[in-house]
Amino acid sequence: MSTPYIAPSIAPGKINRLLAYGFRPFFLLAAGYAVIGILAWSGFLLGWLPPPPGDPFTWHMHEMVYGFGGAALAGFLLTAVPEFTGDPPHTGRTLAILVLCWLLARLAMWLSGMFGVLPAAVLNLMFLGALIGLVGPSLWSRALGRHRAFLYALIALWLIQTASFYAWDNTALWTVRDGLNTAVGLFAILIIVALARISMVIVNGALEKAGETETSYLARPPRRKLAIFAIALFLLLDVVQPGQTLTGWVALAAMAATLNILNDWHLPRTLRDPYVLALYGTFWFIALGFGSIGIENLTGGWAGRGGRHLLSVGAMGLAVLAVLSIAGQVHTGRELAYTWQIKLSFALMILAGLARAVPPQWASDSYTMIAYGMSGLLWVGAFCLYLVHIGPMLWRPRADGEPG
Amino acid sequence: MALTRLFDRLGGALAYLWSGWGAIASLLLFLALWDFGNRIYGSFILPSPLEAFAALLDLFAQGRAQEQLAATLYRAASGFGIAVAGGTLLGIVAGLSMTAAMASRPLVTVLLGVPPIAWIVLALLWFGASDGTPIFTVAVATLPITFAGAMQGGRTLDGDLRNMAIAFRARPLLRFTDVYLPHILSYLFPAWITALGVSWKVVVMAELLSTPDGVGAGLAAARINLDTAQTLAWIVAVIGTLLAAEYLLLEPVKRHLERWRNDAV
Repeated sequence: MSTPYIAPSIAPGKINRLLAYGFRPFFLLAAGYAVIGILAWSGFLLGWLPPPPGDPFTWHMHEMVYGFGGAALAGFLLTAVPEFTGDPPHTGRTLAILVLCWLLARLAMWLSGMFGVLPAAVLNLMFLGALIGLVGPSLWSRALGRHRAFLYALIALWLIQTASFYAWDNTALWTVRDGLNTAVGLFAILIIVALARISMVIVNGALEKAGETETSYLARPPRRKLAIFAIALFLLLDVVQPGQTLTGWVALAAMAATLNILNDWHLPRTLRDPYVLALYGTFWFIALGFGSIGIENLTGGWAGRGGRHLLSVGAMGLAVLAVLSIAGQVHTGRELAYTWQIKLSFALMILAGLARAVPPQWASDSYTMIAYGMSGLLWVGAFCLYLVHIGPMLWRPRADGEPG
Repeated sequence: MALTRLFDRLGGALAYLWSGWGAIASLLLFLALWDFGNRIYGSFILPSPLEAFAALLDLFAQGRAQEQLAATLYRAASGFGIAVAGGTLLGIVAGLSMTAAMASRPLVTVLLGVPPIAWIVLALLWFGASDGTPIFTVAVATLPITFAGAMQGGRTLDGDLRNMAIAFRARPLLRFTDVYLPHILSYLFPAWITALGVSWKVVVMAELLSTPDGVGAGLAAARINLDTAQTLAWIVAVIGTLLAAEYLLLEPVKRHLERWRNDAV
């Protein structure tokens, strides 16, 4: 896990410090936007705040997937890719421009009621395109192309975003939402690819900590690839044959293939570790999400949007929170801490994912609204804990005095 | 101590069951392909998986499925049992003698060469439309498989190991259970699993042509009624039983008996 590249020493000052490594600004932005985005959305749902511009549901989906998810993805990739490949990281001015692009893209989305979708589309596509331009060459050529899966998923994410904006501008709202649902599925693939790498460090670290020296953890590629294949096939069918039984069977296959990955994870005394548990829970959310979508397609209506939210609130939320917590500490030169704040934030996030997935027909309308409101509150609480507890590390110097 | 061992066993069983998700994933992908076929050809030619499952549930609700499966299971198990007992015993004996092995090899070829359908005709002439026909057909069709497996196991016994066991004054019974048997079993199990698959297929075919009950007869009735959904339901029942027998019964036993392979590493 060591980086051969030595970062240049950084000029003092908080801004320079913040731009010393990609994860620093983008983890802050992702966590901050998680809070703002859901507060604004819940406020609208409860009737306390005016609706977001344009079609509120599309706005909510886009901002959570590409705004919140995009920032987390940028922070992760700008930090992990140099580490995977040994290429120099993008910092300083380049990073500042990318951050600015993300901020302008958010601004354009918030003002899309005034200026229309076009500026928002251009800025958003520019941001993701620039990210692909920055990390793409390393992903393509380094390490024998072993990390190309990230690149394929990124390009798919960009194409889907383009298609979504095109449909949006032509007021075909259902297709926009389908596109954004596909983007959530692509995030599930990205999460599986990323967790395969992260888990090697985290799970083996937990085994060592528990004194289990005889077993070791290995993320086996065939299991992962079967799951990615099933999910990708589902996403394709979900576009061409939405809601059909054919698509439902493939969704169930995606569930089974994701649960199959967990064969690697059932090791003695590791699930007590909160970090392992959070990553493990992410796979469960992915599996349950595809499972409920599958059952919904086969039986004609069951989980409503709950299945999609198991993937977004559950899997994306938990994976992003866990990765932000792990990388935020490790890359600022710290050991992973086992504080109550971290444990509580993971617990809140798991509950948020479950609360949002309550099928609408299990309870009356007012009770499901309470469950969804609770889910939003738990989500905001989890990311607030992150901002308070780990946030300051992101603008302070590394604890071990190293650069970066 | 006993409790931790129990937990280890339970954990092992859970881990084994969990490893089934990979197989379930590919089976579900196959169901998707089947559903796709239904889209192209329509429900009359190829009913969808859901329609077939509904037909199967219906058969269970009527009690027909249990009844016929029990009859078929009895016949398959009898024939398979005869083949396993007879084939294994004769095979080991033949394997211990070079001459017997040499002499029996062409006989295995002859027995394997006779098509099962020919045995059914012979059995019909000998046993009529009774249980005897499918049982005989299954036994005679699977016997060469278990015989050949057992003979291979017997032939390839390690003479040095045997001599070592004798040098350590291991009694004959101990020699058999701890030296010969583990080796022979590693040949027997694949043969038994193959034989189980063959017996399950042959019994249905024999029933279709000979008996008034059993899954094969159910299939024949579905054919007469042009009920494709029910046909597929019977096929699902047959395959489901086979999968359950192999993965819940034979495979765990095989793993248990072949622990030494993992321990040795």
